[in-house]
Amino acid sequence: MLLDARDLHKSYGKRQAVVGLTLQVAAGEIFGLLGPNGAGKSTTIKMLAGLVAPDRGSVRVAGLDLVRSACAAKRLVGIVPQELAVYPGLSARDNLAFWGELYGLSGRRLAARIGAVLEVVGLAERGREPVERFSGGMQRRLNLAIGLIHEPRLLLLDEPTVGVDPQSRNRIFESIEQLSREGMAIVYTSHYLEEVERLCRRVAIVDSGRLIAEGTPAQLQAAAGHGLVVLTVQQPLEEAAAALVALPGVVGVHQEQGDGRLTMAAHRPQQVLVAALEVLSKAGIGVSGVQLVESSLEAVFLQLTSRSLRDEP
Amino acid sequence: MKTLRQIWALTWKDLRLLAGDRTAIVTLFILPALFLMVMSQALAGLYNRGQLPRVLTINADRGPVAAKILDRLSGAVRLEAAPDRAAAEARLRSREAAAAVVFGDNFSRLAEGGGQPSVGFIVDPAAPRELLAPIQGAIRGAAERTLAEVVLPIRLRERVDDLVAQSPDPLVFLPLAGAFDNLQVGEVALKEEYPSGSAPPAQRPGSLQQNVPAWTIFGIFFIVNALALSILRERQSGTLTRLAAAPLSIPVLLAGKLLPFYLINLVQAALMFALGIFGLGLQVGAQWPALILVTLAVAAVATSLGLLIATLFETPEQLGGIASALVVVLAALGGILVPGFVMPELMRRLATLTPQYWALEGYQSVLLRDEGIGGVLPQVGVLLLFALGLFLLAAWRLGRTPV
Repeated sequence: MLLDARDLHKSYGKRQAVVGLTLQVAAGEIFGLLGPNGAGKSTTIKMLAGLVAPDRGSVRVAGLDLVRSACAAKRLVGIVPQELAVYPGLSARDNLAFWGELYGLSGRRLAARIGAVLEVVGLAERGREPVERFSGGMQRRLNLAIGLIHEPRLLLLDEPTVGVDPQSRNRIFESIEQLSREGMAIVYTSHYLEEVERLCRRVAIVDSGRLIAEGTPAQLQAAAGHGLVVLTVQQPLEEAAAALVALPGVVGVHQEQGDGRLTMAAHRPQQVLVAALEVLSKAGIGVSGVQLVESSLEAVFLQLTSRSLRDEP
Repeated sequence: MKTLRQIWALTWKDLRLLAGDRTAIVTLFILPALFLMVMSQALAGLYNRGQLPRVLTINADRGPVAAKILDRLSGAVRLEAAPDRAAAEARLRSREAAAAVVFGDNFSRLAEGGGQPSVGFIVDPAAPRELLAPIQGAIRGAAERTLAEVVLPIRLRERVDDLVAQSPDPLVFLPLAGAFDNLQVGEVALKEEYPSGSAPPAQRPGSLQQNVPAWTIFGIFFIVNALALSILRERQSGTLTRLAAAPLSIPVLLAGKLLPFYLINLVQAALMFALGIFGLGLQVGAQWPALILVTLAVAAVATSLGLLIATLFETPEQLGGIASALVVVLAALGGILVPGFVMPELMRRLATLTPQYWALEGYQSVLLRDEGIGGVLPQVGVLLLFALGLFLLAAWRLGRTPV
């Protein structure tokens, strides 16, 4: 395994951020790390990047311990933070040159790597422009390119597509898939489950600092064996949710206060949909929208954590 | 080699970012230079001993005594005749002069007749006591000496005349006939000396000797804001996360982050002294190594303080103008904005708690006392202790701050 994290523990004061987390990611594998806000994802990523030392447990990258052999191990890791970690006052090439030099690149090798990563993220034509002139999507792509400049063997991607346009998102997906084919191990966190379903071969779901499920998306969905029923209802939302949670086959209900949506994780979702419409009709609650998702990672997530992935903590 | 390249990469990056930051350039270079040019002129009167206080004269005396007093006074104040009291008062109100002296038409007659002549002294009510007291002293001294020279011969002649009238042989007093002409009252000479071990001053403290080092120190400490902002922006943008994830040791990261700002401090000091020397005429003497040593120590304190300030806030918005306000307050306390010699005792004691005070002391030891490296070691030592203390505090804070 390229990444071998075992029995990771981390506490901040009395709060346990990560408890006994074990992860392994092979070369060429894209591994999804999912969890609601405050679940311990960020702390896990920080430990995997060597930013935070675990209280207990170990992280090895290609056999190198990230605490004992910090500098050597960090050379093998690329990180793409959720923030746009670029210098807007410099050009894309200057940004890449700076980070490349920090990782020990220079001369022709550095120039070649700058050209290569700009090509990977589709910014080869704009490399000499100041980054402050880039669109948000282009800055996201540069953010990814910086993480790749030193040819890491493990890439940690923390919400790499937040706020990007569809064109840039697709370009980022293509880049990630290409890197995976070239043998890079990738850990991917996102709030967008469709991204994880598309990209990741294996997924881990963490909640309250603990690993609560791990497997391929198909394995997780099969184990849960249910889908999603999404209803857009008129107020009162709480009353509707209370009526639906008691229906046979419903394993969880989540309310989206903003748009009046109720999302139900359910066994036999078609039958639950019929029953739900009947119950709401009798209660005098109008329904303005219906969506049926037979089986999804989101449903698994909702069942396991009782929260939507986009919930606030 | 690899380490040095990493430090240089970090340094070069920050220098380039700062070169594009107009606010930083104005704050670090243009404002201190403007302050220096304006304040060295504005405070010239406070220091420049060649520029005597202006005193107006209204002399209606019909005899010679007032003229003699004014003649004696001309070395201590700058005298200008006013046609009448109304004109003098108008000029006092418009702050053209600090005071006016008035001699009445019978001043000489009273003086020579043994009376009690008086000198009118009109002052601007807004004129500070510190300015008026030396003028009053000078007028009183000149008047008393002159009156002594005028009155004493008259009294002596009167006494001799009495003695002649009573004497059986008046001719014995004949040698005294011209003895009291041009009688002069003696003056006590002041011999200036210095504490043992101290060299005579290279220069008298003047506006430039106060203002060039003072505003250099002021500008140097504005690096606190630029450095703290740079670190907080790195934290906010996520580049600090990336830096922490890079294969850099903590000392390399700190060195790379502090060095550009330290170098800017040195450039600031060089430019400010160049402006002082070539633009304003400051005389520096030969103790350049001592001047450079003080500068190196001041810059170390300023960058350490910037690092500490960065650890006390989480975002640039939180920092706001706090760093700038702190720098201004420390400058005021440390004798940068207001010279120490006009401060009350308590403020002078408080000043010693600021690095700015020791920096100014160090610079002025070189500029005014012509001290070399050995002479500024006490000030440099205190500055380095400040730098070390602030740096250790910042390192401790950094260790407790999550990336």
